[in-house]
Amino acid sequence: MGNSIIEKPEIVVVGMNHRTAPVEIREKLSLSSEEILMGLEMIKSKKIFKESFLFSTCNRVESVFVTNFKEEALKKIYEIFSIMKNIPISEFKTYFYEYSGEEAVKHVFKVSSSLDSMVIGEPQILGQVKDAYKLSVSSGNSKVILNRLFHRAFQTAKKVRTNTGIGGHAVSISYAAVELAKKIFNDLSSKKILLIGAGEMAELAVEHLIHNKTAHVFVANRTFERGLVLAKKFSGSAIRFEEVISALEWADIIISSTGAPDYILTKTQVKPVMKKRKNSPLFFIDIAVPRDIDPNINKINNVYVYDVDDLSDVVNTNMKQRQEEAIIAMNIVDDMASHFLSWKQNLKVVPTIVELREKIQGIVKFELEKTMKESGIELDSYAPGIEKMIDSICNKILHHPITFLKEPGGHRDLPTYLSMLRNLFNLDEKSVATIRKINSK
Amino acid sequence: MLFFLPPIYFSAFIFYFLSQLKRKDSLRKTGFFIMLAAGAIHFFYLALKGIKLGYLPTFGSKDIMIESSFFIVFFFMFLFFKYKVDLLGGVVSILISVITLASIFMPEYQYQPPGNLNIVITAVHVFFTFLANAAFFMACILGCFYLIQERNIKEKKLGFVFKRMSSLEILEEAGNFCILCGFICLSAGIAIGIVWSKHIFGYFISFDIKELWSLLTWIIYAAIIHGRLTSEWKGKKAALMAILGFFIIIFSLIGINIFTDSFHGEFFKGSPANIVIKG
Repeated sequence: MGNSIIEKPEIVVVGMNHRTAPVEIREKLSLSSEEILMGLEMIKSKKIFKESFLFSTCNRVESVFVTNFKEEALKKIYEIFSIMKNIPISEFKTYFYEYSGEEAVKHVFKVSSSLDSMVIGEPQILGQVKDAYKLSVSSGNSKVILNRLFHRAFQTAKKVRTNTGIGGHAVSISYAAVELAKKIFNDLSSKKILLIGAGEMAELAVEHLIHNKTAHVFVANRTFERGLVLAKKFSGSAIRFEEVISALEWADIIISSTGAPDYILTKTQVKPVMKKRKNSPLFFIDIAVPRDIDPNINKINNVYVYDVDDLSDVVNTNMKQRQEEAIIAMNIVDDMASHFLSWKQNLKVVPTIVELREKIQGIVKFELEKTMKESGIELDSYAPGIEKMIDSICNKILHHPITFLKEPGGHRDLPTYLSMLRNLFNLDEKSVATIRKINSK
Repeated sequence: MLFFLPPIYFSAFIFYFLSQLKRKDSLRKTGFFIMLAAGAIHFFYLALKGIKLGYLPTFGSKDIMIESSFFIVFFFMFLFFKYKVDLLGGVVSILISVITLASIFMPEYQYQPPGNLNIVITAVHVFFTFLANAAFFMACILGCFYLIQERNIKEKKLGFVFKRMSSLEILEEAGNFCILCGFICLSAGIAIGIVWSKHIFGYFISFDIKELWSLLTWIIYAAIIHGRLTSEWKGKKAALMAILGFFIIIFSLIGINIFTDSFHGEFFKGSPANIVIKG
């Protein structure tokens, strides 16, 4: 490993996700934040890893690291997973993907931008990546390269979110219902919700609406006590099931999810209510199967009825749109990745520049000391001025080579130039002491 | 200067359009500022022409079109600070660019208004009536928006337009606001007209068909406001009424002016009026 050009630090991603691994494997390997910290400590103790990052959600387990020795590092990381989760490597290794260089960078950007998620564009992933990154920083595992990589990843995610419609379309039934409510009512904060019956999806829809600051939730359940419990959950109030019709006079959004075999509200019941509520809009979300709300109610002016099928249609079209938006988002990822890679390439130049400068400074200093000693002049009294002179000689000699290294132009092969430079100045057998030795001989 | 208006309004439209396509708010803002600049140029054009003529350029269909379109832009800006209605800027900018483009090809009429026509009163009368029309025009567009969005939601067609249009509630509120503004301005315009008529003709109302039609318009909009307040006409019905109301205005503006011999019509056609002015 004498040539440090070959030893360039490489970014490597190793992991598995919902596409590559079945849920049983994902369950077995998923890491809690304590386990992540433990894993990071284990990785840190191995000198082969320069920087590292560990990430785990219900759909993926991943490690991103920087190393000079990719193959050995990969072996080590599998060992670490195996030790931590107490599973033999052979049981999970086949489900893992490995990326390095440009592919690895793009993968990290894609994951953060939610382009690699099971539900494309879901917003939680960015927060999860950020949390994992914080752990990596606080444990001292993330340094120059990963810090830059993740900051760029967060920027990419933001850019993708603002410049494409990837997060714009609801892809769950309950979100689709909220999206619709927002197109009927301008200000949800003054609207009242009535939940009829109970059910996971209905409760989720109510939660989303509350999240959007609706005023008050009322719950009507056949068993009043169950209604009370639910109402407490949403800090709302319970009404009796028989009061539903009269409640239509003041409720704005009705979410229905009962187990009733027949319609619980019909057109003839709702129509007279509209006059009482001064024709202000009424929005029915019918999540029950079989349906609770007579679809004919949709024909009444200013009344809108959506059932589960309607909402799933919305979700399906939105899903397709998100996939289309993901194609646009990939352009952003490519663009950001190439920016990052050119920064990283530049980074490799820096150690060479430092070494080159040290070498030249060493030579000048050495020759100066020698000359002064021979002439019998005390060097110390001239020190500040002389130091400055040495620096400026070095800068002048090295100005052009350094500028060239930093901007070699796109078509030039930087590693070749670096290697040539290191050979010309014999930088790989560096240290001023050696130079002195050679000179003094 | 008139030749600059259609392309500038059209470029505002392009920015509005792109902002929807690319989902960039910065493009929408640029569109708005271009529209603002176009409005300013529009104003200077009218002001310079007014100074040159010595009276408000309100006579002849060419000037009426240019002035109407200016008031629409003016009212759009006014509305913008109260209600942010999505897509409205794009629709207004393209319509204005078409109207101003058409006005370029309209012949310029030489018209000498009666010497003792009070310029200031004319200006105030014109200001209120034109602003009223602009407000009703905006209410009509918002009514169309409402019908489109209502149809989208009712028929469960939640596509491109649905996602980009404002909520029904805001469309209705903004529409109500426009109608109220328009009604106030129309009332003021008619009141000034009546008083002024007494001053120059000696009687409050000449039973000129234009005047009668204006009163009809006033009554219709009063009814619309009443309907909206009592919540009889809400939602779709209110939107339909706003569109109907504006069609009546269009009829009174074009139909009556062209097909009848109202003295307001003489202004519209721009041929010398046979107005008998007292004193």
